[in-house]
Amino acid sequence: MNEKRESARRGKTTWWRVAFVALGVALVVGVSIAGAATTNYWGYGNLTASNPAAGTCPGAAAGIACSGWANWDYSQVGWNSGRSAFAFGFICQSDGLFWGTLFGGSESFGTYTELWSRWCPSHYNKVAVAHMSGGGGTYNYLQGRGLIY
Amino acid sequence: MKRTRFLLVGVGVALTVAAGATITAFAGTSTETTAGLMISSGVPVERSSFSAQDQWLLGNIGETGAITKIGVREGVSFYEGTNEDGGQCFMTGSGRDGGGLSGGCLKGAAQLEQPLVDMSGVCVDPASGDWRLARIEGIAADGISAVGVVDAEDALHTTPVVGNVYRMASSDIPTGSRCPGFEAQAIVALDEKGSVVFTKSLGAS
Repeated sequence: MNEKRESARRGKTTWWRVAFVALGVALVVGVSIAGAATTNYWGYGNLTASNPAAGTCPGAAAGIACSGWANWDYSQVGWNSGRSAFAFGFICQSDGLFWGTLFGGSESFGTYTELWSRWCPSHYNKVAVAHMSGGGGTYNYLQGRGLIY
Repeated sequence: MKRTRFLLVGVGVALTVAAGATITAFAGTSTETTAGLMISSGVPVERSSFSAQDQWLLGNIGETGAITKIGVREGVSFYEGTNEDGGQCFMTGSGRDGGGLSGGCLKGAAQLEQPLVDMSGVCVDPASGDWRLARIEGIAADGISAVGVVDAEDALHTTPVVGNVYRMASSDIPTGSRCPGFEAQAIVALDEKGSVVFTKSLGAS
């Protein structure tokens, strides 16, 4: 009889432990979601063939804006207006090249977000946006953002 | 016991808040949008089937509606969804499970009035600004049989559209320069007769 009670008591204890662990996990996950940090490294501003000027993104040609180096999880662009082609994504530490999605000036995405692993083999990167030739205009009025989840 | 129930309710609320929108959402197997972008392929995907981070991404870009997995091509999954205004959202997933989402939503209630949702990518040498079209991928409307790249010598390089999605194999993409890819003038959509029905104009560097 006592053994049965002891077993039942252990069961309840285990159940409560599971519940509190679940609560803890939920809170940690919740904090991490709420804590996703966004850094605006460009604009809102006109991205053109000459703006930003060469070297604004260190070592880069004109028309390229970027953040500093970090383990950015996402590169994001908030597009407002303009119809030139542009690209946004990451400058990967692994090769020093800019990799990203190309918009041709005919899409009207408000916010577009790219995960680092779609473009870079390792995490350390700069988030960047670049004016491209083509499309139906000479500029895009947009904001470049880096996000850490 | 009342206190126990109160705590359980608290746990439930915390889980709900932490998980965000976990409502199971289904879409039809056929997606009809505008005359420019009619997509017949696809299966509904439950939002809760994505990781917490991918669900966060969906919320971040404003995707709130039903999600359809249009197809998988060369290891990349392509999805369509909607924002709260009914505007279209498009996502890609490059993880083995179809996760690792990237994507965005059109502004407001906008619908894409063109036969391609082109998600192609570039490689740019930041120092010189020289670039190449390094990936050719995206979603194509019914009736589009291939997507092609017009290179600097006016040569056309195509990849087939299979189940409304396309992605050129990496083995078909040129290498040799610092950036792999095509010196591209345009991305074009071809119908079943091989006629160009849409052009995304680019300027080769």
